[in-house]
Amino acid sequence: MNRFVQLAICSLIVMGATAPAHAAGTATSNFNVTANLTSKCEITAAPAPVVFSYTSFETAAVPATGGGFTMRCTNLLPYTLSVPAGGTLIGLAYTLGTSAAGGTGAGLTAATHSVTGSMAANQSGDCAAGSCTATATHTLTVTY
Amino acid sequence: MKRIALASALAACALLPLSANAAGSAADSFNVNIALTTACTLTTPGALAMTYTAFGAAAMGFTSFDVKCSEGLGFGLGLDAATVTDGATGLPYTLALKAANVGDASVAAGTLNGQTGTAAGTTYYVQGYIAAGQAGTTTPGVLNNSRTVTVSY
Repeated sequence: MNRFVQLAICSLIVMGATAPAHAAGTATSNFNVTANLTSKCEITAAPAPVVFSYTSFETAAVPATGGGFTMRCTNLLPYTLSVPAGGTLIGLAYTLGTSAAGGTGAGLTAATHSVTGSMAANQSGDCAAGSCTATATHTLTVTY
Repeated sequence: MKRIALASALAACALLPLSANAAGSAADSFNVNIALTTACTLTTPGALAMTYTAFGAAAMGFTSFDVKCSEGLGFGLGLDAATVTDGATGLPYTLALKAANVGDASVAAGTLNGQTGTAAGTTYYVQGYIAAGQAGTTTPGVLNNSRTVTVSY
């Protein structure tokens, strides 16, 4: 090999050794995101008073008025509503219920329900005057 | 090796569905308000019949009716007339409101006050009485034997 050829080979080797690194690669790795949601229901507006106006010995059952309330629950969360079965005031027995047994949460969209009530017909009541009034406090419970 | 195991566990947890064991309750109070208007009711008394023989013994009869008033409510009973002459027979008679159907030759009693209401109701009586020794008449007069009993409360 003559000297010219040797020089050419060495040049090529040097050029190859100093060539730019234009071929780039990628590396990936997975990671998890975990969301823990504690679901909840809220009564946003407490029930309005449940009002009975009754005259002794009514010939038909008397429904109550009022009792409306609003609530909200986590989206898709099922819930049930409950109130006491009823009570007796000034000799008048009444029953309580709710307009719906329960429902499914709709997030920020409030649900409107009501506490219902009824007084059976033909009750006397206890009152020594022309009219009497009485009030009792009960609790509405939302279970989820 | 431990790192690999931990990573596997985390990955497995991430694949689990959201747990559905969240339970709780929310509660709020509300009032039940009752307005009671007191009242009384009464049944219609049956006919009060008396049988009398001219110049004979006194005659007596009863009818009854039931009164229901709000428990504890005070009330009184009244008749529109207690001393009447029967237009058909010309016989004068008296009426008396009573709490029991125990007959006596009572004077007219067109009122019975001081009663107290009960939910179950109370039976009251009207006694009619024709005194003995009256002649009566066979000339028909004006029938005026429809009486009214009133409960005041």
